[in-house]
Amino acid sequence: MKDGDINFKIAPHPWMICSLPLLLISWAYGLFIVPTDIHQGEVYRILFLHVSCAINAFAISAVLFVCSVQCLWKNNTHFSYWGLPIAETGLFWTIFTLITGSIWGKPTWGVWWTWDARLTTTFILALMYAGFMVLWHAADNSSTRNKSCAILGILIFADVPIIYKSVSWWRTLHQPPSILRTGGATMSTPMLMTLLAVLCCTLLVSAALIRYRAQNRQLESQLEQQMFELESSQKGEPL
Amino acid sequence: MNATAYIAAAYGTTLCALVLFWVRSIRQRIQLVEMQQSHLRTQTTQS
Repeated sequence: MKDGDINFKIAPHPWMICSLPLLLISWAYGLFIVPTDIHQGEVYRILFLHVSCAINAFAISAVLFVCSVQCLWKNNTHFSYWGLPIAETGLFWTIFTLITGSIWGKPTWGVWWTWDARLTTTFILALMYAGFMVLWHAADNSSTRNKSCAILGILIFADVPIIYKSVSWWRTLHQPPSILRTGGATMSTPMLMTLLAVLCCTLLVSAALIRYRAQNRQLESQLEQQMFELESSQKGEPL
Repeated sequence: MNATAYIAAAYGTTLCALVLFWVRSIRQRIQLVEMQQSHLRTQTTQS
């Protein structure tokens, strides 16, 4: 092993291990302790999960945007390790935004899915994250891959304000903003605090997942380099 | 279906997928670490 090589452990970092139980505790609080909503009844509890999944997907797109800009502007090589894990985690939360939203929509709206402005723009976000992953695996050369994926990373982030404003621009089935609105949030304080707690724990889980998977990619590329060096030395070729 | 079933479906699927995502990442790490160790053994044998 060379001096610059990193020796990663199998077990995740302790704060990463803590993130999942913390998320479960926040979910349990939202499920069993917070009072029932007077209008929606028990089913509103899905919103703690749905909203935190959505905000996570949006926050991850912001992280992807920063990494993409850094990659294009400063030719930062970290994008090779961080790009794919960020997009994978972003896609995960976007898919669960759609799934949990659909499960909440059935008892509330009476339909599992409708081509509503917010639902459609969120679906486009999922397609863009998936497109990022396809593009990543399709490119032969790492420099071309990084550049093309970085451009797509910027476009992914551009979809987020459209998703956010979609409920104001097109009045369809999805309700208008209930947290970030003029006149304050329409949720009661215990519900809002629970939502914030679930959101913070979900963000922690995402950060832990992205970090762990980025380390995997770093290890993978280190191993590929070592294999290449070994093969070259066996053939007697200069490195 | 009552509200509890919808809530269980939403939280259950998310939890299962999250755990699977974690397990997949850890399994990938185990594979990579094993490959690295076997590569190190090959290097030591050669030198």
